[in-house]
Amino acid sequence: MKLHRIILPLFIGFALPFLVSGQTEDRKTAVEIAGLRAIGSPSNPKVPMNWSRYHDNKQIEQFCQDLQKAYPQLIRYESIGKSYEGRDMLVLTVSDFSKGNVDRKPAMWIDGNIHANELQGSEIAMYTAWYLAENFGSVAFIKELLQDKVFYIAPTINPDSRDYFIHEPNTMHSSRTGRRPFDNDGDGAIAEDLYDDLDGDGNIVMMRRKSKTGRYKVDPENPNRMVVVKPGEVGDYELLGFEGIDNDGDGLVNEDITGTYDPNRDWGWNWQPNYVQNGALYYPGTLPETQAVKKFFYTHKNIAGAQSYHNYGGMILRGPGAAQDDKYYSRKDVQVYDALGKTGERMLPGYNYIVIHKDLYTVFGGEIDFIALARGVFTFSNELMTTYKLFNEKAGQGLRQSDEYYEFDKLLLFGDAYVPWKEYDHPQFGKIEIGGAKKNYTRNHPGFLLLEDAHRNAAFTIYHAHHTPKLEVLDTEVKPLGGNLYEVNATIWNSRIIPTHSDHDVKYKIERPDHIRLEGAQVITGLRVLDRDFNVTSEQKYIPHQIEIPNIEGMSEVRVRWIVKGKPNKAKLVVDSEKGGLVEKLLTEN
Amino acid sequence: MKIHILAILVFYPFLGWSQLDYPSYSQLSAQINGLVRQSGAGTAAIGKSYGGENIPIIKIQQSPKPRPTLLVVAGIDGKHPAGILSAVALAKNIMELPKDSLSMLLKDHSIWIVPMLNPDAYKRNVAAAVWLSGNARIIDNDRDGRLNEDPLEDLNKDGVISQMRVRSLGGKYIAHKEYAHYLVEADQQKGERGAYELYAEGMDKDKDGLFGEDGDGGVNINRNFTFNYPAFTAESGDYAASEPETRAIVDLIFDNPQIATVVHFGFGNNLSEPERFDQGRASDRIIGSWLANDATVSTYVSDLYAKATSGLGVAPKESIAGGHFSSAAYYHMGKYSFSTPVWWPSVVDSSAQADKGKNRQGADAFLQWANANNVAGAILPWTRVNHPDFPNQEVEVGGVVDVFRNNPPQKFLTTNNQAHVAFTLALLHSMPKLEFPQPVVTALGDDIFRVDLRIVNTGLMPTYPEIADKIKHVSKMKTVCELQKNQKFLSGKRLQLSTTLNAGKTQHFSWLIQGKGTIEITAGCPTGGESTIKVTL
Repeated sequence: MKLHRIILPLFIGFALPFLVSGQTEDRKTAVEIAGLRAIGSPSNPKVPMNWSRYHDNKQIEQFCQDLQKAYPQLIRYESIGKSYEGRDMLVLTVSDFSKGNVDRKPAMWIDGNIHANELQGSEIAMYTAWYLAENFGSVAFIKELLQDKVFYIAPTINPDSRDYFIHEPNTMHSSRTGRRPFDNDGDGAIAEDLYDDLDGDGNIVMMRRKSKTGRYKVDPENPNRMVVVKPGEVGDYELLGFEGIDNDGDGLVNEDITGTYDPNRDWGWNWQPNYVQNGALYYPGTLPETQAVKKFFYTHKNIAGAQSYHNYGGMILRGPGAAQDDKYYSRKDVQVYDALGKTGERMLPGYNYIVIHKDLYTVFGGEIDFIALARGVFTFSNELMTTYKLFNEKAGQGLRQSDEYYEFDKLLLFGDAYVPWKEYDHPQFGKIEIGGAKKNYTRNHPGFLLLEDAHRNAAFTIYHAHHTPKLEVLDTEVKPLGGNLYEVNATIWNSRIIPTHSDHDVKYKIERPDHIRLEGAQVITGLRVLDRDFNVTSEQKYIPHQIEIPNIEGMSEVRVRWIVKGKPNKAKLVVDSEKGGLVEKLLTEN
Repeated sequence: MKIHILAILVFYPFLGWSQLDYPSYSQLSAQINGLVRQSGAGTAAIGKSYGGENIPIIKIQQSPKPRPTLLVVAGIDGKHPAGILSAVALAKNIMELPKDSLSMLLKDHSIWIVPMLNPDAYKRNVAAAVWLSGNARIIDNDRDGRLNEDPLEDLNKDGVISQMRVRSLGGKYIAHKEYAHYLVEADQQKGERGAYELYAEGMDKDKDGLFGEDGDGGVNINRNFTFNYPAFTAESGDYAASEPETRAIVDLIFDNPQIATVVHFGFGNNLSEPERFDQGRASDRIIGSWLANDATVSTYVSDLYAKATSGLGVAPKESIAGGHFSSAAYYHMGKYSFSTPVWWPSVVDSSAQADKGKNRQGADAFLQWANANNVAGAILPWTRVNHPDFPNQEVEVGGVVDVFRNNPPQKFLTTNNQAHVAFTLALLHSMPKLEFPQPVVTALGDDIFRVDLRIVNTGLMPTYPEIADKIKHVSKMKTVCELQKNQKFLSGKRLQLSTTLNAGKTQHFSWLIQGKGTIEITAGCPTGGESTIKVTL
């Protein structure tokens, strides 16, 4: 023991100069001292980050640069297109670039912030990339994960509006949209009636007016809170909506703010026009941002799992968005979703695993449906932040009646969440008062809760990614048939929950079949072995050296057989699946 | 495939059947560009095709000032090149009208023509003499992961792709009783036994049991629009509006709110039979029927159509399938939207008119027409070929050359084109026209004035379809009354939006204004015409 106490400082003393000088070389991991490491988190990250705050586009790009610089073997970032206002849409690729062909590894797509006011999806996506890179050297599971898989992480797919939300006056609900101007009220003019920060304090909050016929009063427990009076009770105030004036003289206030369209109604599955689905534009892909992501999906057919972050409500959502698409979710596919989603509920206390159209509302032309049904990818969308997180218990009442946000603000945030009511002379409404919740409260996490939820959600996507297909050659066998003929048998198995093709994918042939090839042998005929014990086979006449398998299901095997001429000494078995990856094995390495 | 094209070029003069006598792509483009120049309206393209070709537009208008506009679109499905020629002929005919009638015509309205929305198709098809639907995108039509591995093939080297019949036990087809080169399905109820299987001329290169199912020919633009988009069907694309051609025409329509009515020359016919109002489907969340008032307009336009085309014989019923331009133009873009194939096979002679039984429908009409007119190359005799996929069977190539069903040699188009010029002019005369009589001002004393404005739609169609009132991005009826600084409204608003104004109807607006000075009222809508009126109080 004593010896150790002497040796350790000595060792550190010797090693430190090497470690420091080693930083200029391609060192993959940072120095960890066991006693300093809080389990699960790096104590000495190469890219120090504060995960209790939000980031604008400039800071996101800086983060991407820093992470790529610190971990060139694990991180690459690129722009997959330009937003309407010309900002880059950044995607981080996270994988062990020294192992295998990254483009062919089963991939997990993660995006955030499609609704720009829903900020924290970006931070959670960034945290995921950061966590993977910073723990690659210290957690064996992560090392193996990045050898097998690739993550495509898009912190924000609505960069224009993110900066607009952050830097311009907005409410917690505004700037859900993008920055392309449209005439929202059909009057032929564009964005002519925006919110107005009347008192110039940088916050767009509520307007109230004293009124004898008003139906609201101040909550005696909490002066920030307005409550509806009981039937028969006389109120003191009427609410006049968010801060603003009637800028265009049509008798309406704030009715034509920038782009009230919804980028999450601009996707290529069951798209419907705005009178069916509010927020839709001309056609799926009216926006450059959604087009860029769609293009990325069609050029990355290895994407086998996807997560798109929203807020709020604490939900792990799966599709479909519309009831008529339920028919595309077979029992088998639902079983896969259930296996992942129910584990997610355990990992994310307060979050419920539910179906969009059944338990939330109907969405036509949403991103989730595009990814899940147009591309056949197992996709979840987590609605981040829930009132459960405030006091780690289920809310007593519905969201709108709940006073927990006020109590939480009082007890844990000490009043930082609300602008106190103050008087203002309004040109149209006269004497009013302005006050209420700041834009980053209620929907976006308060700082200290952000880190925890970032990790839990990142862990869920890591679990999801882990269960994208992993194809392994279980066994191969070469059997002489007499003469110069040989029989080659091979068994391939998928050791994870997600199949190479969803049932939906198989039915509509979204992705090509999996190919199991025998290269370097003279193949006479190729067979799929349906039942080995009773020798039930089906012959493939076209290109027999490459057996085409419609799907390799989760935790299941497939068997193939070839009759070849000559001993296949140098033959190589290749398993080639778009979503399941590429595996090669020489017949001789048994 | 390239070798085969070469073979066609080399052997065609000696062995080939008559091809369609349609102009080459460069001849056609030159013709269209000539018309664009002649129209003097500038902008020759609304975008580029997937293959990088310009998508031309001919704007026949008096000035760049927007007027309620009729848009004609053709050449969407590559299998309907006749529509392109008819659209070009329409442009030509209208521009050749006597100067004064043309300027009368264009006083209140404009006509825009997009004759070839899918130039990739025409360019490829006319060169190869194989008429396929899609653009230049290379697609995996049979979704097996291989691209264009099983194209159609000219097995007998006669220069065209026709049909292929294989004599086989249990075959579904037999020869037509009157037209021996035409195969029909055997009807067991009538005691017929099938003798042939019928395929398109080709091989089954990928051994999936289908012949020539995955060759050239990309996304069919007319299956790529947003209404009832047929996902995962042949040639419909990866998703709705995935193609630049689709997006170019939708953008054109949204960016130019003055486009009031759209006519498609191509597959689909809702003119011979008008759109019907279906209460149930019209009130579904996803509206599936023309709304009541719009269906009335459809009936009116169908009457115009019947008058203009009465000499052309009975037009075939052609339903408008999912992903079609015309239905998206109505349901999703909020335009009156009509579609006609312009030409259909019809043998009109006095005896046929006297005896309705002789006037055939569908395939029989085509056979009758091809036969009566001796249309070379439309229906070919069967010739024996050796086919490796059917080693022990009798395989013959011949039968119908598909393109002729909807696209006759040019000379047959002339009469139909004339009739459609007449229809287009009748439709143009019916389009909405808003008129604005000078407002009536009543002084009420003490500098208080009542201003009464009437807007009258003197056209024969509403300012826009009822469905457009539901679509956020379609410009509505709007009235804006601007006051001087010293004036104010005692009653009435600066800006008022209202719903579509029916034909012959009048809309009233009234303001009570305090204060002297000149007010400025701007009223109307892009599809009905807009006007700014100054009134001095």
